[in-house]
Amino acid sequence: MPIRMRLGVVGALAAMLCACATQPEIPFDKTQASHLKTIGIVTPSMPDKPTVWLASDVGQSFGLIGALVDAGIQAHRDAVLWNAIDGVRNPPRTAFVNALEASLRRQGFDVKMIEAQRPDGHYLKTYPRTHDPIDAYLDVTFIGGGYGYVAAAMGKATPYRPFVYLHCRLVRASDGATLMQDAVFDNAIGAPKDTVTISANPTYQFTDFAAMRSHPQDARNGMDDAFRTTANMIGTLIR
Amino acid sequence: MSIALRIPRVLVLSLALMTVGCATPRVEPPPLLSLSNRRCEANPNWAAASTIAYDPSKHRGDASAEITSASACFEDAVGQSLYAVYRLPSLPATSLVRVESTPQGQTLMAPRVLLYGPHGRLKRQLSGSRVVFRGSALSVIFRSHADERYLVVASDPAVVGHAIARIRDAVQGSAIYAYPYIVPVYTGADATVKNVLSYNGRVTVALRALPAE
Repeated sequence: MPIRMRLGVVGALAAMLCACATQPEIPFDKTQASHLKTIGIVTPSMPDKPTVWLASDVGQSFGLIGALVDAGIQAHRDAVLWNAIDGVRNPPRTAFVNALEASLRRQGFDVKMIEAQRPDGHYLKTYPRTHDPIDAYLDVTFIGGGYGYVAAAMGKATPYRPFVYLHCRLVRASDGATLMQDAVFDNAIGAPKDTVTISANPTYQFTDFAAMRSHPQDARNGMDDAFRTTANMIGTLIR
Repeated sequence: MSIALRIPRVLVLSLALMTVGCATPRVEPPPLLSLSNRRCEANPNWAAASTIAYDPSKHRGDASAEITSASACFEDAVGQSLYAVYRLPSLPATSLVRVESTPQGQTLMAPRVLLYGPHGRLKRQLSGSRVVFRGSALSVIFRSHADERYLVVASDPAVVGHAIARIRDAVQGSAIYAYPYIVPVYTGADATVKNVLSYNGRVTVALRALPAE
């Protein structure tokens, strides 16, 4: 990964520390969506690969050199985690979309998959027309590092746990009205106010990166668990 | 690139003096887990409804309440609840209401929101899965309906007594003073925050315009 991109990743994650990634919340109201039966899940805007993120470390205190060192370490860990979770044969994107579909079906909705290009990490401005009729589009964009593992600091007292950070919105197909819009963070750093916050699952935690690397199936299970938890919350927000 | 800063001695001394603790620790109320000694009314007392300070020009209104063992209580099919009742102003159709219960030490009121018409008829109740954590507060947000006149924030007896343990990670930026330099340092912390869902607590109600799409 080029240096500029690495610094961009570190910078984006650093921005998360000040909870800058907020959007206005729009609650779902059944009276505005009484005929909502079929939801189209648009291809999420989501990194293909997870991130292993150390939210505070020595490098942050040493300017550009420190940031470069951090970026290099993170890129290496990201690659190791990707191999450990067998991401090529079992893409995280598939796991998340499956969890989202299951969540919506449990809420009683019919679900269709809507393919879409997601070039810029924002909500779509227009949604694809579909052959099958749908009542609303569910648009999900991952923000910050997207998903993976995060630790507040180095040390046994601050283990790595799975995280998922995303924005979601439900848009009525007939007129483009926003029926629901919210942010959902599983294992947030801090307590961002305008965001649904889900506590990390302590079942999946690793005292350090070496422990995560030596338990690849657990690492994958933890990530999938975070996907399910977040997807279930999205389903709850559309009740 | 040097990221340390030279600072005058006077500034260092001033900053040091400012950090001398002046605040008195706040004593938070313990969780109230039983109303067995209370005789509760069958309905909220509409005559005691508080108004919400609402500015129509800014489409903004706020209210807050400390719900304590001395607060009014009513009993319905769910059980007994302490509550605060508000008379809603006439709101534009595009209005958003946010009700939050914020922690007071270990105490965290488990809220449910009931909305009534002008004659005291229950229109809808928001509880259970509609109550989620936003930040560290339990929160319910919803769109206002024109036929709703009273908002009751009540404790939810179905979950009172439940213990909640949430993991909270945080990162804090600080500075090390090594005269004449300041070196920024970032430290991370991991803690388990424990609360008990209770009848009592601190609640806020906020009225806002629904965000533009």
